[in-house]
Amino acid sequence: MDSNSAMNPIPNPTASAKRAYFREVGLSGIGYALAAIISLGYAHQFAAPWRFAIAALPIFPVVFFFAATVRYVLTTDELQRRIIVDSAAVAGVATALISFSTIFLGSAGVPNCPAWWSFLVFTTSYVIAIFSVRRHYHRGASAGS
Amino acid sequence: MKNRLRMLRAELDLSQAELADRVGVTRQTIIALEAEKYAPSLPLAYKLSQVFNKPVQEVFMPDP
Repeated sequence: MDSNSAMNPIPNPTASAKRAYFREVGLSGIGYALAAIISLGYAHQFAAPWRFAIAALPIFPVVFFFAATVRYVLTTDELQRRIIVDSAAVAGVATALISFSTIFLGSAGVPNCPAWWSFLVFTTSYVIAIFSVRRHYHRGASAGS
Repeated sequence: MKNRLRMLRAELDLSQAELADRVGVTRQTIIALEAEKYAPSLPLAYKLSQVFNKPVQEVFMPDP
């Protein structure tokens, strides 16, 4: 077996992926803030269809944010990728179950939640899931030398 | 999946961080592998076996 490649360290994929991710998320955050200011402050001054185009400006930095997230998932270490994907799956199921439950609650007279609540539910359940999944892979592990 | 990573790493006097750098993963991945909490992908299993200069089946064993 060729052990030559094993003697030369391979660049840590997660470290470089994280650096790129934080850079891209930072840029998309700045872009989102600027787009939101323009959208909320000036969209009403224009007639349709320009009003809708300016109101939708913040969508573009959000798309850039999602692209950065996908790029991070694809380039990071395989265990980190497993943790992120497992957590997203759990969060997706939790969001679907809670959303489904609102149908029955709605029929009982509970006011319907606005659509953006599903994003809040997903984010919250994702954060809970990622802590739990990470703990699963590290529980019982001893950080040796 | 069981493995002999900890023992083989000790034979080569490698730290977890050094082994992680050799195969291009994080130290947390090596920790999870040694704790047998995570089964590696085939490319990673081959990279690890190359570091120890052993066949894959001598490094990783299926659960009994």
